[in-house]
Amino acid sequence: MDPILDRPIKLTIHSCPGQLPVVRAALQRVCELVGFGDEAAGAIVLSVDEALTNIIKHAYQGAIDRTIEITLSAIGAERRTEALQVELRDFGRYVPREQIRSRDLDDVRPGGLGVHIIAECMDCVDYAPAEGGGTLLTLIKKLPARQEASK
Amino acid sequence: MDVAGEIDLNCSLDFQQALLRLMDAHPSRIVINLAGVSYMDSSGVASLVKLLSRVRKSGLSLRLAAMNDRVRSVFEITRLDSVFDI
Repeated sequence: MDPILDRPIKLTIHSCPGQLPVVRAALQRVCELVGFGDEAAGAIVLSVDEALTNIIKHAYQGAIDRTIEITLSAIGAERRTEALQVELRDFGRYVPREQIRSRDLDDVRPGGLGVHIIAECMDCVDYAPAEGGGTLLTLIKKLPARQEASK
Repeated sequence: MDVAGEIDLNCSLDFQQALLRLMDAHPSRIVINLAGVSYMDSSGVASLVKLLSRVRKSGLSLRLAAMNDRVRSVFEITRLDSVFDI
């Protein structure tokens, strides 16, 4: 594994929108260090930001004093990171997966785009009830296949 | 109107209110200069969609200018790049 993610990185924030830039900055740096290019890093940062926004607005209904746990970890084998996994855990109202839908993009109106953005940007998206209540959202983005060094 | 900074849930309400106040001056056209915007998520986009709705009802024109690649990608992912004049 790449040194930066030999062990998971855990961030705990409050459901306060003012803390979102901190998460974005930290995640951007992790993406750079893991080896994502600018476009992929941007997609990851945007997706996590959208997911956190949804947690604040829907799981926590705008409350700013609730806890959100973010865990960044590497997926890979043989000491090589193949993907970045971001887990977002909230303790709010669990919404069944089948109720989480993106709206029709041809219906141009404010709101409702976060789910679509996350699905477009990430390679894997999984919503599951968290043990003890709330939701565990798992997002995975694969690193581009690295060129083998020529011998 | 020049916009700068990161437009997310934290400031999107202020952003939206500032956009809608533009209509108070009864302009014939509106250009939003996004050169100073380093980041925008769907809450910022939603504010612009709301302005677009008002602009269309008033028969005015709205143009978004000078967005960086990251901001542009949000409009492309949501297919709003074909809705707005960019």
